[in-house]
Amino acid sequence: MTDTAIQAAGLGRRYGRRKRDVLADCSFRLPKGRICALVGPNGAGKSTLLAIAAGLLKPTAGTVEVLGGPPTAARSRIAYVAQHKPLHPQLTVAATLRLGAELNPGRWEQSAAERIAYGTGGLEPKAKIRSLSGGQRTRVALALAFGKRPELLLLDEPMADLDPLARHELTGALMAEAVEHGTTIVMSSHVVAELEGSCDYLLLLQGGRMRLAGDTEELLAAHALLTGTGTDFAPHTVIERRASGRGHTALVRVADTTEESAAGTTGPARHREQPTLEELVLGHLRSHQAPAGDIDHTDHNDHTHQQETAA
Amino acid sequence: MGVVEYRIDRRSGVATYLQIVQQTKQALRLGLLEPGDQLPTAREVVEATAINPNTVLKAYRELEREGLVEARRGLGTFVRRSLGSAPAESPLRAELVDWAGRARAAGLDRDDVAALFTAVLDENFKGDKE
Amino acid sequence: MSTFAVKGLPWTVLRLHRTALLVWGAGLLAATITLIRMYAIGDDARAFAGPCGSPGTSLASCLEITELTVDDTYRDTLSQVATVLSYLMFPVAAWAGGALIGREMENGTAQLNWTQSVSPARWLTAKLALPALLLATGTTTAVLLNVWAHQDGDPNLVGDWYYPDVFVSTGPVAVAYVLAGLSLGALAGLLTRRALAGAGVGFAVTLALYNLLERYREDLWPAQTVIGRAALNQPRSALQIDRGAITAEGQEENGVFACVDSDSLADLEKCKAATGLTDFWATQHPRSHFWPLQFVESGIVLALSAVAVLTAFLVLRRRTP
Repeated sequence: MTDTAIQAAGLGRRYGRRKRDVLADCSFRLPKGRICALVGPNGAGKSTLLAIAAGLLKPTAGTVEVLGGPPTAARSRIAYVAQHKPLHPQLTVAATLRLGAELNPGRWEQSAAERIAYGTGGLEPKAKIRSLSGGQRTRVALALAFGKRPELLLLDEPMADLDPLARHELTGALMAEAVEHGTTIVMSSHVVAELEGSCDYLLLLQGGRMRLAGDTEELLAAHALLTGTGTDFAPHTVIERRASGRGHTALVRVADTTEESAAGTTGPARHREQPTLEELVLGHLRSHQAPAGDIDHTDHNDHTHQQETAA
Repeated sequence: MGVVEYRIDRRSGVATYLQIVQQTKQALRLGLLEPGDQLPTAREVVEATAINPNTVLKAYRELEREGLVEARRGLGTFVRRSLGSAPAESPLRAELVDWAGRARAAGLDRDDVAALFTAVLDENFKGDKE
Repeated sequence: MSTFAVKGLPWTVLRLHRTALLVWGAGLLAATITLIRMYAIGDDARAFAGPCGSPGTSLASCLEITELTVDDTYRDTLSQVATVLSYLMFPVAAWAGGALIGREMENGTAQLNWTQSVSPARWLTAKLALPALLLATGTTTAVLLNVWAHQDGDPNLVGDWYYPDVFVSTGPVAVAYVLAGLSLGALAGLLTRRALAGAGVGFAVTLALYNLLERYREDLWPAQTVIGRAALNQPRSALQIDRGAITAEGQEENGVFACVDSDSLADLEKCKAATGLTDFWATQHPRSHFWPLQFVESGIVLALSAVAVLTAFLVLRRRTP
């Protein structure tokens, strides 16, 4: 038994004719039992990465191991919900669940699937899939995934079509599943705030490349928001810096703590805050959009505006 | 007896696990929870709040470390001791009342006092947070 | 549907294509009833198709014949059955390219199955094997019933054996064609990954195949050559292919129709003298060539189906991990 859910090394995917790397040189290790947010702007390669992990797509470079072997060997232990929630339109909800039961002999748990499909604000068993709304389809797709009792749950933009109430309910159901069965969950989203409370692991993709990967608490602890009068934030590595009143606010990767305390006593006066996950993600995304790591935004309002849009 | 419900405010800036710790303590102070009572299971909490299970476990571990609750294997987490309501009549409070009066007399308004108090708190309890 | 003792992947294939299954079942039932009825009226049709006389004679009454059109009913219905049976591959190919494979590729439900503990190869196997089984048994039944309803195969009533419709609908070629429709359609659906395009390409490819084989059918088995009077008086039961004559100069000329139907030897000699031809020859497929022709054509069509199936699996393996 391995304690790794997904291990990728130099993973890449290129689509033939366009010769564009949708995914390039991705290396990370996701431990089992984690709830992982796969975050990045639209077109960052999130769906491609999930499809590769689900054993639906061949990588064109690198390797990936899922639950200790190739993804195709773990087919029965993975559940995957694609972004557009494909379902057979001609079936009823009940027949769709029956399909899950027939295709997953020995694993299927009807009650788990029914709880999601017919639970609070749930659906009619006799309703045809083609008559359902986007959010209701998501519910059925998630019910199929839950009924399978997977060890690894790969969800591509699972909450996009849901109203706030259903979003809260289904996220809660996901978390409950994780508590009870130790399920590893990977959820993608381009909205960081949506996943902030539920995830304890972060994979940040941008332009097909992995910008950040790790435990959220460790990542947050390794970063700080510093506000000071100067532009020099040594010895920390500045990820993004913007003007703030007469001084500057910078998202920094914190240097070694002993150095920090030494610098803290001698350097200019700084106010230190812990960034939220959203600030961390946005800071990293913005810094990579510009060629240099150190960029100066003079318009402070721009900062808050972008945050609000994302939230 | 109903189950204690946690209200998680993602915008508060307070770490989620700390919100659970604080709300549990509040419930102990208000007598909503008494020794022997069971805290909601991690499953119940995450199902209702949609927060990460590890956050709940971390909060419960913190409460356990402080000796307020104990985890019984396979049964759940139970309250061990209650928190006496804030030492309302303690000498410390009297001193604070006295100090607040002097601050007011010195011409400080409510916000000035609050800022000063918070700054001193931050200085003195620096290591305790997180 | 639970009355089926079918479980797992086969259940899902049958359930997903329940409409097609019902249509196929209803079609077969209709064909069976029709052909049994045709068999039942076969004797009457034969009686009424022959000469007639006034009531009281041994011949069928001419009065009744003008009133009853039992032979027309028999002839027309069997002709329609032959048409339906020989064109069956087209709707099958369109269905396989569209609903069976193309639509699942288009809306992502194929991938849904592949993440439900079913590997792509197993999925395609089930998608092809079950319909193949049902189509093959159904078509075989229909062809056997058709042959049975033809009884003595009187060409005035059921058409000559070498008519394209009759040829296809009375032998194993019909089954081979339906299977080719399934496999070529499935390949089309897999390659286009679209329901409509898959159905269209499947239909077009089978249409091309059908026309190609119909055109070259007579070349699939060596024809019989007859000379002399036999070349000029070929029986109706033989499929005539080519004919020619040899001139006085000893040269062979193709496509010569001179002296055909010279009834007597004297007529023939007269004609020979008039045209200056010394001998005649003709190539034909006698009725006995029915089975060799059926087997060769079935073999070609089945081989093509096998290639299509193999290609489909290779395409799938190249696309998925």
